[in-house]
Amino acid sequence: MPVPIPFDTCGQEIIPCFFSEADHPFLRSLLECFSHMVGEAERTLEEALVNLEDERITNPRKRLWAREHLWRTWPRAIPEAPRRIRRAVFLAAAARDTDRPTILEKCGAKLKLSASQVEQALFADVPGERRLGKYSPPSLNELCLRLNLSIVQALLAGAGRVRLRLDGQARPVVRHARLRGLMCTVEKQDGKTVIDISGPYSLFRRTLVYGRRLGDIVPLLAWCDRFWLDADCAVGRGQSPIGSAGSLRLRTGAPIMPSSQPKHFDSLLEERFAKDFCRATRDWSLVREPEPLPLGNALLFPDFVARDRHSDLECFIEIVGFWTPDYIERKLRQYRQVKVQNLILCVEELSNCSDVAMPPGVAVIPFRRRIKVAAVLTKLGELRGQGQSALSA
Amino acid sequence: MAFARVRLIYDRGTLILDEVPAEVRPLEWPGIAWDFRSSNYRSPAFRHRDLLRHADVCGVRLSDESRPAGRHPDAWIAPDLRPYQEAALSAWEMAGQRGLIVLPTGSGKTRTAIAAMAKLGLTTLCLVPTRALLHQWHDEIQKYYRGAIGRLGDGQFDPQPITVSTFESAYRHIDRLGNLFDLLIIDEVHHFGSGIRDEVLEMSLADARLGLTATPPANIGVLDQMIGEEVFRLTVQDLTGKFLAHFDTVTLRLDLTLDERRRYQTLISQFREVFQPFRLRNPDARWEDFVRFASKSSKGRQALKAHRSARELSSWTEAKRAAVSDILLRHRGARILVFTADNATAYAIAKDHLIMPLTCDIGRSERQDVLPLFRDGSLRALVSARVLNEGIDVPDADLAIIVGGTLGEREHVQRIGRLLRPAPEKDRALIYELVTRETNETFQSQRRRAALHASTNPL
Repeated sequence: MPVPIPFDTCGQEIIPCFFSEADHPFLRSLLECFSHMVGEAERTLEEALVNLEDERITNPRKRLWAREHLWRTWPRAIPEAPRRIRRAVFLAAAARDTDRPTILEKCGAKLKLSASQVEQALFADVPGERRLGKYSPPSLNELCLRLNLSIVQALLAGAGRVRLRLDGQARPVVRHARLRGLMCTVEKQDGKTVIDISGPYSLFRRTLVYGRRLGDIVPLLAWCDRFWLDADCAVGRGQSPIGSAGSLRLRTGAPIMPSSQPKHFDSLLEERFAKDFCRATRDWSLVREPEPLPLGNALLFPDFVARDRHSDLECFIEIVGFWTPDYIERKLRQYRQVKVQNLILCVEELSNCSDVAMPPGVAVIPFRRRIKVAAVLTKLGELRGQGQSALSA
Repeated sequence: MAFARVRLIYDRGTLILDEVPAEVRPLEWPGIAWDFRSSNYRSPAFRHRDLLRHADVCGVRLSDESRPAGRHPDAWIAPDLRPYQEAALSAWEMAGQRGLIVLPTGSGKTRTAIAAMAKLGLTTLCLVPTRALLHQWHDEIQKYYRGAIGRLGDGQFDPQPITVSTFESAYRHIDRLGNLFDLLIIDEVHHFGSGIRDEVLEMSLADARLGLTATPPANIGVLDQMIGEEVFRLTVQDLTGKFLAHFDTVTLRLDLTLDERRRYQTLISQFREVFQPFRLRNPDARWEDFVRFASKSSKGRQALKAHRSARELSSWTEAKRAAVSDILLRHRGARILVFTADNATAYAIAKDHLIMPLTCDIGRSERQDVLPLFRDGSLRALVSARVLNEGIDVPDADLAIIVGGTLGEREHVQRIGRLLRPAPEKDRALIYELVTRETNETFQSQRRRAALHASTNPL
């Protein structure tokens, strides 16, 4: 039977029961209980856990959730012998018309074990009989964060779509969602990026087929400066898509386990360019992955923007590795659509299409292996001098 | 409009109509919706055939780019079919290669499905409910198919033109796989249709679909739309004697010991204290409603726990222990399957009588080792809780002991089916049903018998 998710409801709102410092005493005793049972059978642990539960004040659903989480994640020592012993014993039992103790004794003699050892080892690998392995568990704080993340993900498993409002770091979220086969519609509202994430099939009916993938996005949110997550989740009745729904809200500061830090640079080339640029000039500031630009139902994520420290002038910089004329044309069309005036394209010379002429009116800086910052600064200087668009054409 | 040309593209479980000319109005077509997210017309993948037909009627030329090119299955050796299997296959073909075939367990549903695959020569996805069946289908197909057979599930992800998948793995990956197969075969199809996991059927664009079951649900519901109508049905009675073994059922009604009775009564009283007032207030409520109601209070939860304990108590009693011992001793020469209500009872019997248990906890390779040993007589008995319930091929058992079961009538018919597979030397199969008197098992036993009777009645 699935363990009930620890949450409360307030009207239509779902409020996850997060683990906090107040639960540390319970979690500590739970971890101690598991640690003491290393080498013991699961059923012994189960008995010990029943006694443990009655003494603590943590909400019963949370207790159950934490217990289940540790039960699932704590490794087991894998015995090799039971399978061999089973085969020997059951074949012997089927072949001979002797009584049980004799069979066990004879098999034991063959396997160099006593009859009682044979009996004990017979099912040492099935649930209840398996032994707990050695494990260094996470700290209490980390355990709380992991448990909270698992609660949110379990709730989102019952969601058909998710709405996110993000302040900064939208790109990794959108990239991750797309990689997982989800669809994003993006718009700007009050300076915030609002992303609706759903799956293609969500158009036709309420479906939970994307729930797990939606849950995978949550750890990334911890890297956004601020975020607001809203989702309608099916709760109860086995999270059936036709079950009752409540709305889940998650905000910045929610105590959830973050993912590892999203990569700041797409490539070593970009990283090196950013470093060289900052060393070469103090007149311009370079921002990696600036705020995305609204492009119809989607967003355009520029690679860099260079901002003049002495005026309002700014210029977007795109670094293009392998490219085709179609790709360049599409990129330029997108920048024209969002009405960007100043754009510098750094394109790789070694690309197969390097002999194709670039569209006129675009500031292009070819590069091999390393982008020449001096050439970029010269173009920026020209822009500052002209005070006019490089994309006016 | 006669020359309008529209591209049809598969996109993660859906079909996109692309490059739609102004004169075509897709929103008037069945199942099409405007997707504001991607600014195009979209339809569920299972509508593929309807779309092609509708486009044809409207005079729109669809350029069907929904399937990847160059995926063809290898050569097949067509299996020999019994007359009723041939008839089932013909009925399915005549119904437009869609529909449900209802055949009793042991009558060769897998072989019928393999014949369909071999005959059509299409890329095929076979959906099966369990990991054990995943490997069994794989091995069975291998006897007739020369190429590589893909497996999805049990830690494997290897889609091939002929692929077997568990329901769960198909559910996880169907948006990536939905356009790779032209034929969908669904074993134990009664698991679908409730709304959970139905996306597997909806997000696949396979036009040909074959559902197999021994126990069709009373209400076919959406299966009709997703797979097709029931096209062929035979019952146990139709095949008994010629293709399935005859069987006798012996029901042993057993008493609880005094101590067990006292414990049972205490538990049941604790349960009734909550259940009876609920029943009076809600005479039409289902068991699920009661569980939901009881889960809300600590008294209710205790009542549910008491009910579970009472059921466990009655499913493995002292009398049943003695009866199992007695039957095993009496039929020492027979190949015996013992069915229990839960794994714990299966292990208890396995330990007491040194019989090999076959449960979900026993790994696949060990199960694969064990089944041939049972077939060749090296092992004379197997005890199982659920693994043997559906479709696992155990061809030559001739005696079953039903110690307990809680899943109701469908499970029982499946269990009986295990015994009814034909074996050359088999005369009559024997089924012992152990029922504890004056417990919920008496009622369960009546329901099982009614279900078996219904399944043996011809259409």
